[in-house]
Amino acid sequence: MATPRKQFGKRGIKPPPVITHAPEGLAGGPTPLAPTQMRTLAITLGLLGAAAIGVFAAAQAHNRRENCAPPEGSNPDGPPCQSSGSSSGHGGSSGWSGWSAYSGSSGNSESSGHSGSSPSGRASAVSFGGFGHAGAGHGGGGGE
Amino acid sequence: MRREISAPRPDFEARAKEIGFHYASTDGDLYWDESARYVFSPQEIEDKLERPTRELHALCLRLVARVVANDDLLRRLGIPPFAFDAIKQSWARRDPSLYGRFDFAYGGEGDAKLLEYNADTPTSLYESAVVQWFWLEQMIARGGLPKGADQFNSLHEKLIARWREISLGRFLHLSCMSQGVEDAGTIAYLEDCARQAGLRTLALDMGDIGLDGPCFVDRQGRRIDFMFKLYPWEWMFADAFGRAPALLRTRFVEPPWKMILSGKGMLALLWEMAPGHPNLLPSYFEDDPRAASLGDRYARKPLYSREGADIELIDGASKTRGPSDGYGAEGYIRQALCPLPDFDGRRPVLGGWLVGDAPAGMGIREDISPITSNRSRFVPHVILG
Repeated sequence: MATPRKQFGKRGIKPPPVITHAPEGLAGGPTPLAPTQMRTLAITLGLLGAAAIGVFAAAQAHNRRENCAPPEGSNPDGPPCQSSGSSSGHGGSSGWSGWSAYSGSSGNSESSGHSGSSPSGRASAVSFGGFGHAGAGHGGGGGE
Repeated sequence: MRREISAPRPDFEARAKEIGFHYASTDGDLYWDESARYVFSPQEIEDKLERPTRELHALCLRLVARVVANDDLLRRLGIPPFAFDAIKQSWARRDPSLYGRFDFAYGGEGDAKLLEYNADTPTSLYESAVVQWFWLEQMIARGGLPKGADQFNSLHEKLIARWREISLGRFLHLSCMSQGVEDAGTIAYLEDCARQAGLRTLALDMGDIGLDGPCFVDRQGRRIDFMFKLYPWEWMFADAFGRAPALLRTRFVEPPWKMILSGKGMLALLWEMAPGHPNLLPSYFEDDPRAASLGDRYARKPLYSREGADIELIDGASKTRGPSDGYGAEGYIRQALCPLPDFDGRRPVLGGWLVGDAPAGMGIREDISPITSNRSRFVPHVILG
């Protein structure tokens, strides 16, 4: 019996979705909700929201203690996240001249004074612009 | 494998616009070139490209396991000691990879030889996954290719599946230096794949990553837990935020351990680990006495060179140099010279794509220069037979 020929790229009859203009979500996803369903959903969400406020308050208190747990929670050996910006303990430098020193707040960065929805709920200044400098002279980070 | 003249689609510009392909030409130079095509047999794809891609990936994972256990090897690769923790931890957690691209020299005879591994920030993804696929579909529909024509290309569906697999329901930030049209296009494509996988996403410029105490955040104050970055690790670590503790907290795609594989030093370590492997070229660090065994026929590559910059091909008295971009202070490797095959003066490099752990496709760039650069043209391919 002949073995069927291996196919390397057959996606079927239709070409793949138009990519950069594709709508959000999966093609053929659920249809929009009817108005009555929307109303039911809004009421339900309102009730859930009230409950969530209570849970959030409790979480805030927990966050202030933990501040920053690993996102998947799958790394019990992971580093604590409350370091104040020192390096990881290795003070050496490589032979390459490109490594800069981190000073806690970037010398190249801007401080936004953003005090909004920081995850722990505390008001804080956020520094921006700490990435993007090493590649500035090379025309982008893609490609190798 | 052969190179054939191919009739360009008369409505190519409109077709490119339809799919959001905005860099068919760059700075006035043609980039996407469908006036030719490379033709392969199924056996060539399966035996000479797909299988080596799978094997080399497995070899690379073994290499990473070996390197993270040995600080001397990490240093040998030019990785700064302050980066060791991030790299080791990401490997210990097995932080998942999304994709990578092996660049091969192959002309239809012998074995494909690995020139380098674009493990961290490979581009030419959209044209590999989508643009050349549309080309194939439309060429078949117009009678320019037979109905059974195929392409080594399951990138699109594998990328969507991989996002679904590795996202764990997390919000995804995607970042690059957004002024670059190709980088921005790559991010737009990967964001779209992620959305088709059901992820919630936000694309941002590297400069819009904020540091808020122990966490990275975006301009809206949303914590960055899971981020794709089209920005190489050696630059991440060189930047002002490169030593921030937040770097240990965010989960990156590609993960820090990919830095072991993205530099040219890995070619020397791979050869040391698997000498004589049919898909590897003899390679040594330049200060290794064994480098002399290559004689006067070798490629001299800076450890962190990109896009062919500052690479030299030494062939006896003849020397060819890539564009200059200031690399080399970090050290060099020497790799046995493996001239690219010559098809009527065009020299192709075959990019073997990997998504997750699976070979997923191929993209070909060709040049009249023996060194492939970011000016090289992308030429589609087809499988016949």
